Amino acid sequence: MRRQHGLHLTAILVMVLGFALRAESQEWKTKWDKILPFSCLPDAKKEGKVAVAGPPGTAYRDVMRAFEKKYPEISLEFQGFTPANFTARFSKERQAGQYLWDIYITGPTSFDVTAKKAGELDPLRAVLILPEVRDESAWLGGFAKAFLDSEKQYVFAFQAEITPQVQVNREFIPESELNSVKGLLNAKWKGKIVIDDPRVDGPGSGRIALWSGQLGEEFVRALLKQDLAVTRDGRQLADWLARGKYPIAIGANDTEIGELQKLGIGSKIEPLAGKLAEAWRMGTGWGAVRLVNKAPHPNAAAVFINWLLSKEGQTGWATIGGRPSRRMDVPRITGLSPEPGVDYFDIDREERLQLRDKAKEIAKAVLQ
Amino acid sequence: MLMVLYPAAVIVLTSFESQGVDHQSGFGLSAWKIAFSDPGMHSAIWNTVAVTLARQAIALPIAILLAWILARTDIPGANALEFLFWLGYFLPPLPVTLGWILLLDPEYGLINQWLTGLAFVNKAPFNIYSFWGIVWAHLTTSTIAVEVMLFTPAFRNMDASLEEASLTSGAGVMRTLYGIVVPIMTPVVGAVLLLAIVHSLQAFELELILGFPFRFYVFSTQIYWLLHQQPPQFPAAMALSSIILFVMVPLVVLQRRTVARRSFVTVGGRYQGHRQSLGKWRFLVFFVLLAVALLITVVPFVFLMLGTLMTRFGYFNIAKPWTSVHWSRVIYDSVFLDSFKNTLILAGATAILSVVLFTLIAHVVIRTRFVGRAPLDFVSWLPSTLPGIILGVGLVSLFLGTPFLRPLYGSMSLLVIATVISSMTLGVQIIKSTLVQLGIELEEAVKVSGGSGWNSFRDILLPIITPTLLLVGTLSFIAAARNVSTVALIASSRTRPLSLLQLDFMVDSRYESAAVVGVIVVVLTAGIALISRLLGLRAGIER
Repeated sequence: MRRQHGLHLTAILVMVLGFALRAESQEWKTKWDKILPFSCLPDAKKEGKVAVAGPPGTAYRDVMRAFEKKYPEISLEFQGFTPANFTARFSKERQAGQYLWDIYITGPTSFDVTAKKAGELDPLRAVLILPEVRDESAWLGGFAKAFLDSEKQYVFAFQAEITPQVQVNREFIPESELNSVKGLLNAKWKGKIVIDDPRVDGPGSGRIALWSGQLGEEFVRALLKQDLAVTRDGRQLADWLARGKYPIAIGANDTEIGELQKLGIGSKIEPLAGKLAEAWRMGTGWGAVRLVNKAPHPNAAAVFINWLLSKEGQTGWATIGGRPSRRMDVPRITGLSPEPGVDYFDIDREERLQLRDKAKEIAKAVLQ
Repeated sequence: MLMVLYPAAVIVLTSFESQGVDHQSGFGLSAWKIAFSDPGMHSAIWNTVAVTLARQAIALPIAILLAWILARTDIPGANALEFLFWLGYFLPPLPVTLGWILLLDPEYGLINQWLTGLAFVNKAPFNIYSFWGIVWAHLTTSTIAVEVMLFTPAFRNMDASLEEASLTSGAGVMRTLYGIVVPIMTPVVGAVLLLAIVHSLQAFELELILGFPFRFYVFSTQIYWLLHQQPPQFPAAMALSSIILFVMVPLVVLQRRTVARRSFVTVGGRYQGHRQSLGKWRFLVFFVLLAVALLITVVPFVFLMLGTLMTRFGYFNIAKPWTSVHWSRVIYDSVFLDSFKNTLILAGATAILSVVLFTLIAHVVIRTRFVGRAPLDFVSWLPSTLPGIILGVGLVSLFLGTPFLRPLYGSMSLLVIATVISSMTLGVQIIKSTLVQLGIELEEAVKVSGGSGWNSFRDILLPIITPTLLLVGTLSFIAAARNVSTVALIASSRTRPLSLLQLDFMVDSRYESAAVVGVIVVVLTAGIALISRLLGLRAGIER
């Protein structure tokens, strides 16, 4: 009797769960149908347009083109900006009461904090509708971990890229002479190191920020006093490393090194080994998305974001854009995609903003 | 005037803003404190002065001499040689600078490697990453070329009797040139010098590439640095930009007073335009001039073409050093055709509008007694003091803050206005310098014989200044076609020109493809320049 009672209970639970799941599935479908073109309430189609500010560069433009193919009824107005240009334009437009952008895609910047405080960003979760987008298992470390902001609402990092902190051209410096990050402080490397300018946001400042968190500020100060050459040109940095002008590079772009190595140049450039925390970092690159408040085309914006974060959109980001996605079900990029299960130091999270700012201050003081 | 004064006012006012989180601001001196708290500021200012002095001390005498030879002597092939200098100015500076690095890098520079191979050379004699390396790159990328471009038409408008009087009284060529010609040419020399100073205060591309590695910062790199902070320090950058503006005030006043002190008329009713004979030196001078023109035109052009055809610029020893992939990447880019069309519209409209507007301004300033002519003259100097991105910010404010201009926001007209303003200083000063040279009696003769002011302008002035106007149109065309800093801020996806496609490739570190876009812009401009020169050579004072 008790067993029979248990069976009934299980059956009821299964039914309730089934109804709940069905209701949830209907809920997302109802929401999606409401905004999706060709549905009975084609709000997105009525809007007909989505205005996206994104990173500059040809690859990102090409990625976005796939959206237009998928949703020809929604015209995509994509424009690439450097963060400084977008911040300036956005600020002036807001001052004039003009709300012209729906979505902003770029790497994590202090814009995120100021815009969030000013109420200029809308929460993303409400518009992330497709189950495949909200799927916990699809994202490295889970869905929530992709949010960079403290509230886990506003800035969704869909790119996750691991990069070595330091690259060494082994043609000029054998591993026996330099095999750890702390070894960079040896006086014999004075004048042999080049760094991407660590006084502004970028690969150089990200790297010293990580070290100031991991190895302490004194390490960073001592390193910056090693008569470092500074550049803001990633290509120049990679060329110098490859030619051995500066056989140690901090902040070299992996893609740039890869391009050189494909041509048979700098084939002995290798990441400087060491403890994982010191030698590698995980970054977002340009790949984080925000929903701007008072968006002129909110439904079309929702369609765009769901597409961007879907398997299809992220496959485009990885294959056309050439940048590794945080999604686990899209093609991996060897050498750039993070290994699942490894706890990388992610410097781009909002709570580490202070670390980044402090590192820039130190660099500014030492490198004058 | 509003279009220029508004952004300038925005700059000064913004420099006193303290930005809040909600884009609402208070006022204070915090931005000025930030700008000057940088410990590197003093050395940056000193470096700027030093580079400017070194550049001009070398470029100015050379350019004056070259321009005089081209305009005032019987050197063979003068027109072709002059056009080579035009071409030298059209070439994009970045690929050319990369070319000089390839030759003069102390470790792997080809010239240094070759020289150190000689038995008596112990170490690399040249270093492009040095003060003199920066000066050299400036001289060969644009400074000498643009000064020759600006001086030559003015020298052409000079009465030959002045030189002849000097030469027949026993003064040598150099004494005549620097004792007679240059003082008569004070307005144009002064204008070019002032333009050069402003340009030096704003130049940062070469300094970023060549100066950063040895921590050589100049004033403009400090502005650049503030703009690339997160968040961008606009008020502090605008404080520094205001300084350029304030520095210019006494210089412009000085220039106006110098020009007003006496007459600089070199073209009157008895104008004689014949050229001085170089005699037996004719061909030697020709070859020297050709060598200089080739150094600043052909050598950089070779760099540029190499850049577009090499798999990776500067690497000759790889398996497949040559490729056409960069050309196909650009030509088949999905936005190439639209960008090309937009560039034609933008640069063409800018050139036409610039010629009309700048002629009007220069005419009012030089030829009328209009009460506001001095302020108008001063306003025409302002755009040169505004860094591109800051001019863009000012224009965005103007267009969004003015209801009747708001509909134009995001349209091509905003871009055209921005690029016209960017070209204003150079264009107005060139036309002014020419008008100062022309005697008023020419126009008065028309009026005495019953003609209107328009008749005298159309029948007398216009034919004489046509070569100058074509030069201004060409310079405005290339400036608009190359403009990145202002255009990047205000263009929309529908109005983006080729310069932004070039920027995309730069961001991708595809400098070879960016160089392809540069070549396309150069070819486009050279075509326009060739047509304008053919038209110009049919007009002018000597016809």
